[in-house]
Amino acid sequence: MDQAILFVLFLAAMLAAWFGPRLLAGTLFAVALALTVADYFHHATGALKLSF
Amino acid sequence: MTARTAILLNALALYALAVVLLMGFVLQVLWRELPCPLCLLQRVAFVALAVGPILNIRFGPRPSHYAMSLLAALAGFGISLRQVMLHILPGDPGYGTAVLDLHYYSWAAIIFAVAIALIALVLLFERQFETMIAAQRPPAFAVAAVWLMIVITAANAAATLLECGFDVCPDNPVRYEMLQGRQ
Repeated sequence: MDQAILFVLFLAAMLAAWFGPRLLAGTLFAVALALTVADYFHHATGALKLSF
Repeated sequence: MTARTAILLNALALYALAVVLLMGFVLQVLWRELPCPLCLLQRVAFVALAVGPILNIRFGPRPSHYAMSLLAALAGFGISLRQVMLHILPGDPGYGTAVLDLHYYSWAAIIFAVAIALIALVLLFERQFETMIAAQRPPAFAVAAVWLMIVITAANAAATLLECGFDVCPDNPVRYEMLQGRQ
């Protein structure tokens, strides 16, 4: 569900980029990217069994 | 590099992204391999990578549009690298079927790294920013690329909703939640 929302947000950013003003496209893109990073941290909580 | 050449390159980038996303669909539909949450996030990052080129085609090339693509590629690189690290230990079979000896997330990490390098390379050619061609109509080749990406993004949204339903996607999805009972 969360990734479906992200796809829809980026779809809206694309449509805004093609039909609407640049500011709207940029704003939608920024919101969607921030939510993508947040969703990544939600799904990447487990510790990696690695040592460097 | 003129603005017109840059727009053609941006259209080519959209076609390349379309191929990458369609490959994900091939693995998902033909090979019946459902993408995990991190796999879906990598597809989201590929979609995010397409917004900058669409802006370049519509308004003409600008550094800020390339910056948006750089941010998307960095996010995608981080996400795919995380999944590579999850499966890097010897004996780990990885997630999904390997294509040409590499899994989708490994290919994704390589493609995002190449995208970062290519965007930096294209930014070196400053002549593309000197002429404003936003008022001119983009070539049909570029318009088709934009619409192809829009359709593929909508298809990804629908497929993800089918797979995960209205809940958070499981780490190892085995069925389409929205089609449960019909499969």
